[in-house]
Amino acid sequence: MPLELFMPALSPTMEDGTLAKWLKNEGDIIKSGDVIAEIETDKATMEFESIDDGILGKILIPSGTENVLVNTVIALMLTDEETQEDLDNYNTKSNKSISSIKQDTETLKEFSDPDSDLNKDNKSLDDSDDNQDISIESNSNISKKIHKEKITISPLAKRLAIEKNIDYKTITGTGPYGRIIKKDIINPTAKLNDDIKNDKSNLSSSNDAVDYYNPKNYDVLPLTKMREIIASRLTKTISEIPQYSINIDCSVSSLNKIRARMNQELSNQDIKLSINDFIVKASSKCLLEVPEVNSSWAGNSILKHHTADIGFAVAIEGGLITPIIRNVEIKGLKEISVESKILINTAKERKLKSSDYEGGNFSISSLASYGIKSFNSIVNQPQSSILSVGIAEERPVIINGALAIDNVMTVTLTSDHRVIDGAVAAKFISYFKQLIEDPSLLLL
Amino acid sequence: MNDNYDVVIIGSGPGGYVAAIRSAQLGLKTAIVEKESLGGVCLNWGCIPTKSLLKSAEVYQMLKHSDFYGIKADKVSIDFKKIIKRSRGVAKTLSDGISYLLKKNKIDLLIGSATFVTNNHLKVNNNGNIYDIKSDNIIIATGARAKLLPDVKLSKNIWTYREAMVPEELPKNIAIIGSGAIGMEFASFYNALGSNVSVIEIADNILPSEDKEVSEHAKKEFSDLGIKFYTQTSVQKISSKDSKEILKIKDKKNKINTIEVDKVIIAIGIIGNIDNLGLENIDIKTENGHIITDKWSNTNIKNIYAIGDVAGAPWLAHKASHEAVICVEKISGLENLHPLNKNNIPGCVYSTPQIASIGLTEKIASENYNIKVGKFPLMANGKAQAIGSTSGFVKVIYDEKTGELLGAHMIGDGVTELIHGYAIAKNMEGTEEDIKTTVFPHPTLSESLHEAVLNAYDISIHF
Repeated sequence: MPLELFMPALSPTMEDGTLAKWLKNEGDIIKSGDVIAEIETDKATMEFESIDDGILGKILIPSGTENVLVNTVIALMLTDEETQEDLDNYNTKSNKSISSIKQDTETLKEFSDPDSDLNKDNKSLDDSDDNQDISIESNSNISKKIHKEKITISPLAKRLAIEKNIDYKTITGTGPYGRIIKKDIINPTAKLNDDIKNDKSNLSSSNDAVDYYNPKNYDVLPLTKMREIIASRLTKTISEIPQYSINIDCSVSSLNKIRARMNQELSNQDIKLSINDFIVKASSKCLLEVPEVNSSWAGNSILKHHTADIGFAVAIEGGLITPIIRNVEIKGLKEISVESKILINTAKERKLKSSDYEGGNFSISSLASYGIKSFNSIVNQPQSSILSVGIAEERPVIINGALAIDNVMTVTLTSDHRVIDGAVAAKFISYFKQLIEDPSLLLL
Repeated sequence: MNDNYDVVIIGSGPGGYVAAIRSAQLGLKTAIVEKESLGGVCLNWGCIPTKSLLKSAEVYQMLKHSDFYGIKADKVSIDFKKIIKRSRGVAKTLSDGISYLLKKNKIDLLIGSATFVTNNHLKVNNNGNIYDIKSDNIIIATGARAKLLPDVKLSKNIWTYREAMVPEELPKNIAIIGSGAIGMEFASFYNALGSNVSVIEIADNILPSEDKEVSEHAKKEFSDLGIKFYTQTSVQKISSKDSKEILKIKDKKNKINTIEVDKVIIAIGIIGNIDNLGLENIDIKTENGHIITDKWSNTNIKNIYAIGDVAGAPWLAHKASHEAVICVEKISGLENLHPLNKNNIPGCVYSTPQIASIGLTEKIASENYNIKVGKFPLMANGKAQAIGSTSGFVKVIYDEKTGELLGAHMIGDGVTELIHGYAIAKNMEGTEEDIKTTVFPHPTLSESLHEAVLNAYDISIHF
């Protein structure tokens, strides 16, 4: 029997993902460890490695298919002496794979939070009556289903989809009887996150754009997974969180002096501390000093975090991602610097693991390199605050009643008011200023 | 009578009665209020009786020219009173049909004028007998009436469509102000029966909302049939003298002319029936004589809807009926509904020649898309040759990039019965491929629909 390759769960909360690209063709010889496909999840593109040797017999889920559920059979691999005949016989299957699917589901469940969406989605698998049927359908008939499932799509929509290289099989139609119509292709907003999906009002504004502009004057870019996630998360955040911002100017003259001396010391180790490393470290101390900020809104309670796990936004092609440095409170500047550089490089190669970017308590975003003086970020839910860092530049200041020039940086703290009141945020940011202006305190 | 309803509809035209029937089908307790005749203007004073009149005119012309077909018909004459009588009879038959449909669907018919007291409370006044009804939802489907010229009063010689439909005798000279569908149908009718017809149009072209090429072809053909046109011309004043009407008209060079006629028909457009409904009692928003609605026909008041002419253009019975169904289904909570796409509503003029169109005109399409245009003259169609109706053409406009059918325009014999072919294609988002591969029966005029599309893609067979 051919070996089934399942859609992998690349993180405990992953429910589905995009089968971005097959890197091997049907008939290719596969060695264990070969990367055979790229899977795109919420945040990153990951490589899917084979753990067996064999021949890629049949690809069941084509490149570019979105929302492939975890544990869907995505391809069949021929091992040993298996031939085309084995592929053809694939429809009549033993129950082995059914139990293996169930097992996978069980294993997954152990990792996941009992209230997570994952379990809701898998609930039907737990209802024993339907168990067998569902499993059989998702296995033995899958190849048949893919080819025979009737997709209703208008001729115009179909032509547009092919032209724009959009896989219409994954699009939910809004025409009569769910028929896919032109609008669905021109404006493929159909598959935002579930929370966004439920709130139709969020979609209407984007639909209007298509009607509003002359189609001669724009190109339609289908949303990437990352763009969908950014859109859905931020829309949800901005509409759910009562957030506000406060800012403060910090002198960085002493910091720069100390930093220069440290970097001289580190030069033989090929390490260069950046101002951001100091900001990360200072933030961790503030989070411990003002623990109300190191908290999350949880509906009917507030979670107070034990550690300072700090994310920092990294712009990558097509979007951004926020890798996390964990336990910053026990790390030194050197460690922070080394770790952040590795995370930035990995992020830019789109190779972050979900554990690299999930679960932070606080975020930092810097637009200093663009010369931005100050700005407000949007809180990264379920965190309750984010620090926006502007450029450190020479500015006129008054020192002891006289005009002077100083190196100054403006930082802005945007907070979830459900968790953090203004005075608390002010306490946090003024302590931050103190630490930045006198970095020796970072040693305490 | 139980006076608590789920849905009450004011007006029983093609919007109102369709809304009532669909509402009853969906199990909603439904009543309809009508102050005059069931079926509204469409059925009693518009679409239907005019088609009866135009058929008589066509038959007359056919007989007059029967020699062309090798038939001798001498001394053909008109019984004008009978033409009008037949038209009224057809309206009556259909109005009775509505009455039957309402009964069949157990819809309460309330005769009288309705006025809003609150957003779910109406007073119905039937000749002084006033009673109250309450309804969770109310649909305003009161239609529209002819728009009049300022300072011009209707009289025995100055008509709207309504008077023009029931004249005592055939006028000798007649002026029609406005060359839209209504104006041109009356022009065609009276001209065919022998009146001298002048049409005055303020816009550059007659049938101003039609594609320019169709409009120009129509003007030529109407002129050949004897209708006189004054385009880019406005009416300054109408005065009566010795039971004649004298129109002072001004052309685009500001030159003043006068025309003396027996009758004047004002056909410059319509205005919504929004008066005397008590809309002010519940603050329903209106604009230029029409009620403002959203795509589901909802007014600014949550449980009040407006459909058809009273809710704005296009002023077409079939638009009203479709809005009716969508609106009622929305009220009943049905899911997966789709608002009416106004680009997919065909419009027809039943004059001789007939005109039919759907979607964008070539001018508008070319301003918004890169287009492919195909044309097929009826001259090249076998059936048209056989029946001796070779004047006219079919024209299609496609989006060059996607093959989307953007618009279709046609003029000629029987085209009002052809346009639905493109309407279906357009509604299903068919591309040129779908029409190219459709088999049209031979010999029919409908083959022109096929050939026009082939022409757009430079693969015409017969042209």
